[in-house]
Amino acid sequence: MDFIPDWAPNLHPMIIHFPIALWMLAVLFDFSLVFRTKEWLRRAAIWMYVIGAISALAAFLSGSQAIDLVSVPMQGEVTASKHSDWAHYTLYYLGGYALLRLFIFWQRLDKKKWVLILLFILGATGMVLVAKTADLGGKLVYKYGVGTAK
Amino acid sequence: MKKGTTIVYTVLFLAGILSLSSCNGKKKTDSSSMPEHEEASAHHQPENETAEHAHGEEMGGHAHGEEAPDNGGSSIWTPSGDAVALLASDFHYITGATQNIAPKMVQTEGVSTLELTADGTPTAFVFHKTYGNIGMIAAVDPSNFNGTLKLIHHAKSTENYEFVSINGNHMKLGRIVNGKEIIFDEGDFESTSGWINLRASAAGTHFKGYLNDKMVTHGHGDKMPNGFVGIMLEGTGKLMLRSIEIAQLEDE
Repeated sequence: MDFIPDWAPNLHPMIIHFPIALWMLAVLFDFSLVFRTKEWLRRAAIWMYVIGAISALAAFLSGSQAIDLVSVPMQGEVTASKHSDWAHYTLYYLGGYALLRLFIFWQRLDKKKWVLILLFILGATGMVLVAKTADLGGKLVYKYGVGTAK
Repeated sequence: MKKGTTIVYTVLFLAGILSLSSCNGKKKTDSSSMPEHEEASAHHQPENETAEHAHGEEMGGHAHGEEAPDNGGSSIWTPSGDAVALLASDFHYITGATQNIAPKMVQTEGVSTLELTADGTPTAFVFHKTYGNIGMIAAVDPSNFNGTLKLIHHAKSTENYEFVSINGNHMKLGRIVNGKEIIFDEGDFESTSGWINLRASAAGTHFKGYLNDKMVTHGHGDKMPNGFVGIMLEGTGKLMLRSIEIAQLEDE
């Protein structure tokens, strides 16, 4: 069974939206937790962070494969390199933060308001990294036409 | 009071989202005019560059190729006129000499082509300008060349340079540092005869080698200081060269 449709150059474009959406949702749950400490919000946030980090890994691996398959015009090479570099930083941060959240969840350390605010800020920082990586990826496609039919 | 705090935080959050969105919108407006600006600059730059090479034109009487503009545009060098004078004016050697490659101008399929006959002495000729992030494409026919053809960049000397090389149907990507070879990646490509486009790109810490628009090698390493770009021959036989395209890659 072929999971990649004919119009897609590789798997990467099918996966990249998962970490973006999941991490954003997780940060939103964290924001809500600052005002309403509900157990379901707490569990939902941790699930979103963990699945978001796993999907970020999938996006990274598919991207590593994709960059070797597509033709990048010369002027787009720096953008491609920066996109790869930021993907590394994002993956390490998201993975590390997800592990940290699991530990905090397990030890129930997120009872104090200041801890919740700090966790929200750290999660939002991850969102900034995701956004920067996504911005460069979008530039590759829409400015340089990488992975698109011409 | 608690409700008030909630409202304040919510307003701050929404304000942050809105300001980020409007920043993106502004950036989009600014950048949409950039491609035209880049194209205009790419056209203007060669005129400035030509003035620097007036001497070369007088010597060789040839249509002289411009060096890559600084704004991320590309320029294409093509050979014409007297081959020896052309190499003397447009390039300098970091190893070997003109007699080691016996340059000759010929016509192939109606196109002026530089024919180089290598005698086995390693010979490298490079453009006069130095570059950092670079993309270069050489249109070559190595069918009658036996040995290693290298696109070199970030070259200071034969002891320090980066390269994409082909020998037969094997490509290597790496660098020479203080005389020691470091290979980032290597791989085989489908055997091909006749004209090929051999491409090297160095963008930050990412290095790639392409053959006919297909990536064959991809490696990573520290960024090297700016250096010369050109071609190195290590072998014997005839190499045909039609053009060299150079793009100075813009930094983000």
